[in-house]
Amino acid sequence: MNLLFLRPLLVCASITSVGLCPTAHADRGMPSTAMPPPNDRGAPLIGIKLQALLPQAFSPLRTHILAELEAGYLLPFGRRVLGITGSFAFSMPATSGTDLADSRVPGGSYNYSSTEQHYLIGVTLWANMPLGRVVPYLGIGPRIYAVRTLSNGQAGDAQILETLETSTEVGVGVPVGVNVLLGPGRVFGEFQLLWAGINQKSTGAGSIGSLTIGAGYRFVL
Amino acid sequence: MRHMKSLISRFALILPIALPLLISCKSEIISPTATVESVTPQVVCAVQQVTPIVIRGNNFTPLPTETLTDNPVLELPKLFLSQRTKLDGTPGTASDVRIYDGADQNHVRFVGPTQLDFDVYPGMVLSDFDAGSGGVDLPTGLYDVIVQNPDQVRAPKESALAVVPPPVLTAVTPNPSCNEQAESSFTVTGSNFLRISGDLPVVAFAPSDGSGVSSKLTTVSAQNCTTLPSPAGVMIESCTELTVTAAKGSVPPASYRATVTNPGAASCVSQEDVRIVTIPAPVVTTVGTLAVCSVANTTLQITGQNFLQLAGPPILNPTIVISGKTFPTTLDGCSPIPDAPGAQLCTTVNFTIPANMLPPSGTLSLQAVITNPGGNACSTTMAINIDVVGPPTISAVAPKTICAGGGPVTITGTNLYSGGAAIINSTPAVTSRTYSSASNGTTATAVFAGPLPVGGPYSLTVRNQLGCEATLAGAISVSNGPAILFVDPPAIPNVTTIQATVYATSISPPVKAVSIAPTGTMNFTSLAVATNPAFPNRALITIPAGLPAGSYDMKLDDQTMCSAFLPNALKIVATATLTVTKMDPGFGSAAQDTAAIITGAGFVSTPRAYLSPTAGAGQAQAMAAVTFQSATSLSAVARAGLPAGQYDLIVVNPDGAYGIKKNAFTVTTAAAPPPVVTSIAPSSFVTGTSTPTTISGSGFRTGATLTVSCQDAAGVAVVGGAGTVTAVTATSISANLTATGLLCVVRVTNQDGTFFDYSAIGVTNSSLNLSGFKNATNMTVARRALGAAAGRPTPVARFVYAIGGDTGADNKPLASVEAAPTAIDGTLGTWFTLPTAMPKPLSFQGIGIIGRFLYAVGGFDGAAAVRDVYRAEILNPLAAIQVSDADVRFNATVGLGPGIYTYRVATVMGAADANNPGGETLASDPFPIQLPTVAGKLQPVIYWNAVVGAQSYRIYRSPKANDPAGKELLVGTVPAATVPLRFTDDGTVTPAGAAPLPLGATGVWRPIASLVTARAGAGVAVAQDPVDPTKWYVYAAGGNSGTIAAPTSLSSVEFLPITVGANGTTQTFTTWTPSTFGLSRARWALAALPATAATNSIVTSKADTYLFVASGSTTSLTTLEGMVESAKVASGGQFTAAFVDARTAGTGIKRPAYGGTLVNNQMMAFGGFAAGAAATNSDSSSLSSPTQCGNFNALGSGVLKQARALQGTAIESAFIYQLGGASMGPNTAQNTTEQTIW
Repeated sequence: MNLLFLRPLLVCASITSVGLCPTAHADRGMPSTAMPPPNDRGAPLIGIKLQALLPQAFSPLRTHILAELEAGYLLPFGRRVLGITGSFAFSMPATSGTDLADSRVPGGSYNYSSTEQHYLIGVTLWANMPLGRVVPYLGIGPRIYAVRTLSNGQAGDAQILETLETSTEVGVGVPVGVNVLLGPGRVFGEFQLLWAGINQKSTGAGSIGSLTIGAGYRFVL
Repeated sequence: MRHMKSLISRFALILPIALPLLISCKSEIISPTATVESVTPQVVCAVQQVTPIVIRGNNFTPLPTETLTDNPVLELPKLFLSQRTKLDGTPGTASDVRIYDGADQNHVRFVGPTQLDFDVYPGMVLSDFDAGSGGVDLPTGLYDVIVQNPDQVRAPKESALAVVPPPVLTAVTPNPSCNEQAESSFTVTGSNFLRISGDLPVVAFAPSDGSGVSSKLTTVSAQNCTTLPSPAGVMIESCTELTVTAAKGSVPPASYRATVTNPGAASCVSQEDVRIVTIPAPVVTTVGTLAVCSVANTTLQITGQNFLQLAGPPILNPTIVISGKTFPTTLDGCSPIPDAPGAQLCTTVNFTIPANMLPPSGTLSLQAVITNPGGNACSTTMAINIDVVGPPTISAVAPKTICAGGGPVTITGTNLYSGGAAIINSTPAVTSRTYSSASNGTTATAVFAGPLPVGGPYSLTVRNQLGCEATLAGAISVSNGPAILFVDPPAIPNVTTIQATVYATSISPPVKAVSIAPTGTMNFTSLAVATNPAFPNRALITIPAGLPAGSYDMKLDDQTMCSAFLPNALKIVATATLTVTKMDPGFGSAAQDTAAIITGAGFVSTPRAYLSPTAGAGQAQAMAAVTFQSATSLSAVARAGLPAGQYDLIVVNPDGAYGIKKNAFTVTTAAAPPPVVTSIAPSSFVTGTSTPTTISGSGFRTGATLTVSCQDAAGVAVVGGAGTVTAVTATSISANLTATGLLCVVRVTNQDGTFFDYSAIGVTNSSLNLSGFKNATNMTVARRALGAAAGRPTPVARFVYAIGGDTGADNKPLASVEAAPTAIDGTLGTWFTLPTAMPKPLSFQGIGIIGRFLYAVGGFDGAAAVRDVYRAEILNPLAAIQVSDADVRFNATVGLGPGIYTYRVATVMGAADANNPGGETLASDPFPIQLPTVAGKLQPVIYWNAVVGAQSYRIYRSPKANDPAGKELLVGTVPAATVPLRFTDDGTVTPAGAAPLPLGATGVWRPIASLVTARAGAGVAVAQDPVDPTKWYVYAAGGNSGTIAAPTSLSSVEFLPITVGANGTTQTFTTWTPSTFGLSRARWALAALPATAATNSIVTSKADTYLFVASGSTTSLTTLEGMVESAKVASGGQFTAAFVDARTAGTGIKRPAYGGTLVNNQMMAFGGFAAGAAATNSDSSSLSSPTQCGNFNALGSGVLKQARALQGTAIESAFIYQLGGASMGPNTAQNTTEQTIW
């Protein structure tokens, strides 16, 4: 793994270290956000979610899994209305083409396969609606995509060897979901809009945006 | 709050560190590391041809790109050539040449990770890389070949490819050469002859006239070589001289164009036009016995052929060696050898034997060897008999007086040698035609031919040989009397009775008798004689069939006591030696002239052709308009008036060689003419499909049957063609035809056995695909925006016309018109410029043709659009006047020498002539007159009948004696008022300047009614009135009233009514009339295409014409308006309703400035501009109704051989021709043409 990918890990670790600052109160055992603890100082949280990545609205990429880790802090204001998290996500959608005409290759046509490894690093500002045990929320924040595109193919009997292209793109994420207080944290279901432009030689000028739908659990410490 | 501040402050510390690290990454590609191991071939020539190169190595990796877009594209590894060294060894430019790898041209090809192929091709160094165009040739030198994968990492192979120039040929010597008797060695000089690792160039000789195949010679060695920078493992040497050999007999006598082709993949060919001539070995035709005077130097002559003289200097003549002694020679009867400068072939060799070199008397039998001069020379050996003679004596001559027409004279003396001659020493002196002596040498008989100079007494000299002579003073006088000049024709086959004309002088009319006797005998036989009081100097004699072959003397008696003698006046030939294969058509009517093509072999310009009754009764009739096309083809006309019956065809060469084809021609009665087919509708058929067909023509009778003979693209017969007649009228046959293969000939046979073959109908597959274009002959001038049409001077003579246009510059239009004949299989012949040009240079004019009249409508004169309309008539050879009679006059000093002279007469019409005002017609048939050798000169006189409306007549004659027919030039002009109409050729004027108009020529382009609106690039079409078949209309639709650079498109339509007179010989016009209905969208450079039942079966009514006005240009030539609209022609010329959008699908034709046709229910658009450049693509749309067409899709087999736009389009029967046009951008032009079958 090269330096490119050490950078987001360092960032993630930085944010996580901030989140683990022992000055906050945990959400654990609080049956409802209507009953905040006295002298609430907010609480750190760590979350994990699994989503289905649906990029079809933005590009020819196919559906894939998006796995995400997040860590942040619920601010104590207004029964913890606001929160901020940092996240790291990974997905690997792919696209392909078959029987594309090109008279310059054996058989006059070729097939290709292009796999995109997306490493997302983001910061999200949350707005929660504390309705007791159920807390709908809306977030927004920037996303940094580290994209690795692996392309190969076949033309007749001739193999098109694999080429790797990497780039970094800047995008945005807008998650919308519902938290339900459960146990030491909150179980949630979430729908997220992710978008970033891309202009690699392999991909052309396009978008690696997607819609995601999934669920997860946030430990509120 | 304090905690929040702490939180934010910690986050804020990290952010400035993290964010820059995140955002600063650029896109990076990592490809497998490519390596190049080999490049094959290693030596190429970058001009003239496309050479594929194979690069072998590893990890050549294309990259799929644009994968997240709708148009993914495969990016191949880039290929570069870097010039490391120039061929002179100096450092190269080192700048990279990138090889264009666009998929539209396929110059780079990915074969696999270990192989890439690319082309070295002309123009590969591009100035516009994105478009892949605008290139120059790759400079010569030694190049590195570099492969670059998409990661931009370069993998070079240094000094991998040598690019070499083409050979340049300067000369091949010796020229001429003789290859008949031994292997020939030639020295080829020039430059850039390459020896590549020992492989030498190939030298080839190809016949200069384009016939036959190339002969490849053996390259033995190369000289004067210099080593060039070369890739590893290859040695390249550039040489300036080659030695080549040709095996004995491998290069037959002819003129050849020599080429040098470098070896291997560097196989460019020299382009220079360097000729080499091989000549036959010398041949001696007459040697016999030569007389040598014992007391004087004697110059002997040997006649034959192919005696070579080289101009040097010094002049080199053949040598003659007799019994080991070499004699220098001089030559006579020489003609230059085309393509061998400074060389001549001669027919007479002269050499001098000194006095007293030989014994004083006797006959010597010796061997003589004549050797031509120069390298690769041939020789001939012959036996030579020499009679050594001494001086004669003369004691008496009888009679003392002979007639001016000649006769025998008996000489008495001693030592009279039988090979000598007698000379009457008049002024001029006259030598005996024949001379023989008794074996004891005491008497001799000399026969003199007339006309002899009246007077005397003259001395008479007997000459055994120059220097051995005797003269008797006052020996003989000449009295008045007739003299025979010559007989025409001089050689006659004995298989039929033929008439000939005897030309004489000093006749006391009428001629009483003409008789002939085998030469050297006095066994005269009288012949039937007919005379014409208007021409007392001539007699028409009938020569019966069956005379023994041989030479005949002739005697003529008039009303005087003198007879005229002509020794060797006539040659009778018995054995047919020519091949006469066929006369086509083989049938004709007694009431009509029949134009025909005669095929065979061995024809020599210009033969006579006769039709002789097969049954034997009657005499042969000479055919008219006999024109020599080649040694295997003649055209001729069987004149009306022949009695009905079967005829043999006899062709007689000028030397008497003849051939005969039995039952070659049948003359039917006037009431039952043979069938003639003028058109077949449709002209194109789907293979294997029985199709209702209408055959139009004349002479069809009940019981007529059809035969359909088909062939494939290679000319091989294909079975499956058939025709079933359903109805017959005199002018039309309805039938169901089934066609197969590619082309079919349809034969209509009447029940009496007479038939006519119509060629051709085209055959397509069910998709109506074309047969594919093939290259045709090049025009003389590159033209774009030209007018084009196909026309027929006669039913069997067809031509394609290219009219005006420009050479690519808007402001430089052309006035010239050129034409090319089309063969019966559609093959275009050689283009030639017509003598009659347009009155002004015009481009973008439209052409319509009605009958034999071409209409040129509108156009651009270089500065503006014009309203001009011109008309020209395709001249009819059958309407040309004929020489009605000929005579010959004798003059002692002024006139022509002996030989064959060919005359033709053409009419110059008056300024008031409606068809050809002030213009010249086609000339008469060639009329040869053979003049004999006489003591004096002869003056031919030719006569012809007056032509109504003529202002003068032009007389053409061959420039010198014995020139082949077709070389005639203007020798005189006779005003029409001259009475009688005749021309006397006194030989004082040398023919020069103008030649007769060729077949295919038009009359003058006459200005007729002008357009209402000036139009350039209008769509021009013709249509027949649906009610009155004598009425036609010429339409001009749309067009550009501005300039080519700043067009103003028009939507208006106008038409010109034309009335066709009886027999189609006249067409009268009124004025241009605006159409009530115009186009829905203005456009120009468009096609106006009529749809009729004859060419598009979807039109069911034979009277209807639907005019389709197709897509065109608007604000510029390359801006397309796709509208296609149609309207039906109404009686009177207007349309029945407004133009409607004919498109049921799609947007119309896809490219502007196309060539358009509408046949076989398909609208076809050929070429046009795509992205500003001429294209090879063609599209078509099928008619779904007489007014509608569908989407335009790629036309199967319709890809042009050359990219074209603004080309001319012409259709002749089943053939579509594409002429010239822009070759690249709008301001280019080409002279190439191509054709296909529809």
